[in-house]
Amino acid sequence: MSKVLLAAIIVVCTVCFAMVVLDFVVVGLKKRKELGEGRVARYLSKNLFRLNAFVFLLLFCIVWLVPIVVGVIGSFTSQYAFENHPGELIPSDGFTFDNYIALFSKYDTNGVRLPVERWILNSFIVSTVTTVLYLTIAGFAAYAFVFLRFRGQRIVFYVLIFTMVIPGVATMTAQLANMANLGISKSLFALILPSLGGVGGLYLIRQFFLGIPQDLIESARIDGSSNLRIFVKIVLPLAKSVFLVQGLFCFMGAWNDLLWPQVILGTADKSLWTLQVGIAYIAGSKTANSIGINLASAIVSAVPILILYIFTQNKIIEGVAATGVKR
Amino acid sequence: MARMTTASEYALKRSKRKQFFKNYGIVLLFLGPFIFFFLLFCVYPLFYGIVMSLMRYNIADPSKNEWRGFSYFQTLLSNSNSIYNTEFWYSMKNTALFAVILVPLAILVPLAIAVLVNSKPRGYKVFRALIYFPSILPVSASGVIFISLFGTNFGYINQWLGQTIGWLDQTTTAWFVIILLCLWGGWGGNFIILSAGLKNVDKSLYEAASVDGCTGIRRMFAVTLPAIKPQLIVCLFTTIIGYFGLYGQVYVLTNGGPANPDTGVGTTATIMWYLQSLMNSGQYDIYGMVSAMGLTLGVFIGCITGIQLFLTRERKSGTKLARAFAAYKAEKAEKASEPVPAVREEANGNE
Repeated sequence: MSKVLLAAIIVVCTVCFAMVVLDFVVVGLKKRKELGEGRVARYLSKNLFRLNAFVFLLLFCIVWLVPIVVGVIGSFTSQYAFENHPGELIPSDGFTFDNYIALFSKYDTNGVRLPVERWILNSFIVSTVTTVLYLTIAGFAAYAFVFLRFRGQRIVFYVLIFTMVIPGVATMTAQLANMANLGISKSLFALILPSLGGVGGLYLIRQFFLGIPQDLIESARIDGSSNLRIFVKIVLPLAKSVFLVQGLFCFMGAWNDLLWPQVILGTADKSLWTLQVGIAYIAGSKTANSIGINLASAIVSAVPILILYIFTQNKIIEGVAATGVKR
Repeated sequence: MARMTTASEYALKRSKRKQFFKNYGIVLLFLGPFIFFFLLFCVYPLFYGIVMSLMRYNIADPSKNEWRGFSYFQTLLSNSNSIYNTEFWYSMKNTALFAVILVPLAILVPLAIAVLVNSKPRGYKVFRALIYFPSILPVSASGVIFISLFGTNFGYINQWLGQTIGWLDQTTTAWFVIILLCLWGGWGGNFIILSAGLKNVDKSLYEAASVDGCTGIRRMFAVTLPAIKPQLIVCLFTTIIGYFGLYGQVYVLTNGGPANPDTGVGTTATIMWYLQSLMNSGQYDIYGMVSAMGLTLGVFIGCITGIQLFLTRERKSGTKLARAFAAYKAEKAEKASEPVPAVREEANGNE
């Protein structure tokens, strides 16, 4: 067992033990009413659970982040270090960018270069186009459901809600044949178009629109605004946050998707792949001489998500809490 | 007089008709694109899939399609000599077993962490963000990181332990790694939903409970858990459904996993992985069979989703959006009922 692991275990155990001892002391003193009146004592008696929670969460988060730290560090570790000093967190020959350079000049078994930059571009195209198109289409549809009146409105909406029951797996094969029949099965349209019929986002946007006062829309209508104008000038600014949340969900969903691109794009034309498919392909070789490159590819695919998350983590977390959609 | 009425009625009718077209034109313009995509990519594939499952469907050359009736479903449900039947139910069993083991874990652990975070220790927002973070990573990225951790010869864990365990080469340990990855990169959503639920538990409930002398563990079971029942239900069902769709983790980590030496079937095959492997196997005439499998699984998952939608209808509490809506509704109700208390106060004053 390595010294690092041993030291880590000892530290964790010591902290836990100290915390338990502190708990027992405070609780015991409190029972015998011997806890002093000082600032520390008052703080402890009031916030004992919070202090415990803090220490536990701190330890938990450190363990929780080990894979990410390992991933990031590993992607900067040279091949030499992996083969000669495996398991070292800080490589003896220093950090290098070699893995990233090697990733962009990696060849497959047939000697054909893997078009990694093309995969990145594809992923970006698919994610952004899906997001923009879906928000537009679903936003207008939600407007129609909330602010317009037409016959059969409720029935159409209930039919839409009912189809949420149908899981993707039931229609996956047919979707594949559908794409083939439409003649777009070997293009990026096959990744963009199917997600435009999703009901979940429409439902979320509609729920938000319901919170916008109808009076506001009515008064705008009396002032002679057209529906398009109302949508752009009134509804859109009010519903910015829900569009942001749904947009993030869309983007991350499209970016992270693995199964559908794999199934639809196949293995013939690698220049069509998205980044996730490519990474899964690269990771297929689990030998030592590719650990660094694998990790570099993983980090490359995670960085856009990471950047999005840093800037919008509050919105994402609120959105997940609000909708129960898990990404 | 009579003529006048007719004329105005005609005008009214005409304007109504005009209004009708105006209204429905805009409805069509706004709703049309969505309905188009919805019909083309959501409803049509469902019926097309049912048709496909009754055919020996050749995706490369549709002219070779042959009707097979319900024979594929018969094979799937009763013919245990067929390799499709055995492998389908084998991977179903794997998936179900996996879900049964993991669902309690994936709800209880997040619940415990959510309780801790909900006590609002210093920096709890940072903790929340960090704990949720792995859940939004692409599954192939987190899978690759786990491969580098659990690799046999050069993996970090083996090196730290000083062992040479083939984590991904044995069935039990491979499942263990898959479970770890599912926990690490999977329960963040549950955690967020549950902590949102905990945050919104009415404080007066706790006060009432403490007046009645109910504290600690009992308060947890008697007050907190019933109060977050909607969130627990959402978590339970979305988790079950999510685990039936388990695919990426298996594909990246083991790709079906160590083969069973007797049957040659991958021992970590889940149902989605199996369907994917069939579709990517290069057999062009297998799609009818796969469609039948997908529908069989789909009916099952659809039932679970249906129960969930039924149980959670109009009860998505504990949410910011829903709260905003509820506040708006309450405001409206308040406005409507405002005059009543005012009158009462006046009456009191007069007395």
